[in-house]
Amino acid sequence: MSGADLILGIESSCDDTAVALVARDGTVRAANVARQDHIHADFGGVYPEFASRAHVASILPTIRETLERASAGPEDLRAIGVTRGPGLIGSLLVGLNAAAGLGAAWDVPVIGINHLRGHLRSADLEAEPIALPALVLLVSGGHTLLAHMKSRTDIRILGTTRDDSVGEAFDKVARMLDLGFPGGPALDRLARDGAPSVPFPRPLIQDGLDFSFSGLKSAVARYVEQGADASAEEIAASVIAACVDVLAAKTARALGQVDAVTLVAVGGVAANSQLRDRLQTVARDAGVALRLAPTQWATDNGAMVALAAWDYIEAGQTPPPVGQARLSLEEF
Amino acid sequence: MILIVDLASPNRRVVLADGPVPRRAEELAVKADAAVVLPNAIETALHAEGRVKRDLTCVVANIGPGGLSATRAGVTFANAFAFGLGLPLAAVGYLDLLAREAAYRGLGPALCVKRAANDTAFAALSRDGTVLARRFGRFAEILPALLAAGPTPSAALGVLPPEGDALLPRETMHHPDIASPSESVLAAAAASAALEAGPAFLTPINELSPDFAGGIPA
Repeated sequence: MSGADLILGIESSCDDTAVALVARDGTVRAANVARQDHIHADFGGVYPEFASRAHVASILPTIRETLERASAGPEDLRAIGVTRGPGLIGSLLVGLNAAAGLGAAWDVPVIGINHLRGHLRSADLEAEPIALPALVLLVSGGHTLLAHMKSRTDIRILGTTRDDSVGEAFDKVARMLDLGFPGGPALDRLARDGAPSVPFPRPLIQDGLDFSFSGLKSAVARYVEQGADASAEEIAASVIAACVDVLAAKTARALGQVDAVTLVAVGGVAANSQLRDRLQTVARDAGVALRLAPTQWATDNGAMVALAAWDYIEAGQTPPPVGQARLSLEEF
Repeated sequence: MILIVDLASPNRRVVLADGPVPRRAEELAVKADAAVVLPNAIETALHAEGRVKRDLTCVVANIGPGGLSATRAGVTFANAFAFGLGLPLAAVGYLDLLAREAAYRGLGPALCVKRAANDTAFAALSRDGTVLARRFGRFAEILPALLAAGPTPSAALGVLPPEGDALLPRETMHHPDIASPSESVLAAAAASAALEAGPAFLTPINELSPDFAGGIPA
């Protein structure tokens, strides 16, 4: 048994430079994030060129600090896992080249990971392994999808968004209400003081498993432009209620179509309190267990990337080349 | 032995140098994914020289200005590789390399240029291999200021913006074939930079870098 029992996970697909050291069983030995909120706040969203520049400046210091926190060195590493997409190209290439440079220096294999696969594995971090098969709802700033996870290596997408992700809709509504960036958490906080009194549309709620949130976003924009009667708190509560209704309905429908013993919710929006409450009901009605990604691991992080990399080691798979060529979620 | 990672020049490559003497260069394909090809290129160069990674004493990276993605990839890889091996890091700049190239070739005072987006450019005026002044902006607007900062250049090197030729003084000859520094110049510059190498991580040059954000020095 070698002493190489950790994977260094590197995530730089958007605006956070995230690094973690994770053991085979999902134990996180150290984790570290260099946030960029202050850089993008003036733009009301992530400015890709500045995100990439900030990654270059922060990625090696973040890696060094993570290793120091765990008193770990290259001799402790079984591999390096790094997000290879989807994400912002300029941000991804920083993580990929940092991983490639370290891998070449240390003679450690580098495994490219689909970002969504990382999210789907995040609920297993620092927790008992999820009972499979599972239905996974991924709701984040960049993605909204339902996936059927039969095993860790057999994942099928059941439905995805046709336009905006739910997190993107939250951010854009937050911008309309001048809530600053990032807008999702601010919208969630504001909604706690309001009633969902505005009947915003529930896009595609009756149809299939795909999502669409751009129409909802446009409806809110029109409502605000026309001189909203409702308070900002009521608008926030109404938008979240509409999104939660759609997410819950689709999730319940999917549970009726696939074999699953667990419902898993992951991604930054999975931290939303109303969504968490509603999914409890959906899971209970379907007779499945509910697993929510720990809030700490719900947003982009390096630990989920490292845990997904362990799946390749466990399966004895040859790591995919660490280029920027697309690697789909369903590909393993 | 010094490892030079130069992805900011049009000819992307890694070079191994013994002090100021280039020993081995590995060119990288223009469209190649740096994260994939850099490890192999370094391994190939070391193997060809009968050396191994522990023979390296310093990593030097070209920090640009250059292509955004390529420069960023090269600098990040160099930072990580040097950190991984516990080696000191040093930087060379693309325009300074062109200035050295002009002197190496005996071209006299030179205008060194890297085209950027939207008719802008990074540009420097040099004499005897030393940069006298540098500016970033629309080429047509920064050129008069640069020309006022020193002797009229006899040569223009690098990558000019479209129609940049038409803006050059009559005495200035454009050398479109000199867009990348030679390996000899690269190695000599790297050897000088290595004397001041340290543990600090490098960042690529951009329009906000101090040398370009400020005015022209007197």
